[in-house]
Amino acid sequence: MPANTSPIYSIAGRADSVAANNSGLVVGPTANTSLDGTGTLYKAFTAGSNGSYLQKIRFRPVGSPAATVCRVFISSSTSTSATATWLFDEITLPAVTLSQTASTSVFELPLNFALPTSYLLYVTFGTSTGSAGTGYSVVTIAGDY
Amino acid sequence: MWRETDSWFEVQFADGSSGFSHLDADGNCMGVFKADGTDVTNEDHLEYTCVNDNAAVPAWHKG
Repeated sequence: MPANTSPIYSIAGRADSVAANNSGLVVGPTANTSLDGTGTLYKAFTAGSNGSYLQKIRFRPVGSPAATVCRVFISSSTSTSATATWLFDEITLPAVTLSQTASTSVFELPLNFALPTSYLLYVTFGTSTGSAGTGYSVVTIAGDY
Repeated sequence: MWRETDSWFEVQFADGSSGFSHLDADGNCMGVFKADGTDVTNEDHLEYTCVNDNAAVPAWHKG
């Protein structure tokens, strides 16, 4: 007997960001080459008390960041050990040059899955994007169940 | 190989030591080095922060 035969929908929209979880930080200047969830990771999203449906994560360049790769981790705990934190996906972020007359490219990683209660998303960058303030605004679009 | 269009980041590693990141003209990282020129690019866990994105070419790299 199936436990659930009806689709469920999120009850409230959610947007969360690395900046909101890290005092307004523009991320990218600090590189972390680890693939096992160790070292400095930046929290991007925390699932709600009934879990959350993640639609996508969006990377908006701030300034003129150098090329890098962003790695997205799922963690079952805020103590991001190698056993609790798992590399989920990567996205290539090419070098971007700021313009005051044209929009710069924006990058999105589709997620489209349900994140269990209290699980978290973290991001790291494979190489440095530049000095402080040059990097990415990382925003997760989701909905809470 | 170093070209005049390349750029260098001065970086600080997690242990507090300093070094450099070498970028080509397209903004791609070509390598990460300790201050003495030791290449650390391929270390499994390398953590560093750019502190100056317009650093001078390191003396050891001018050849």
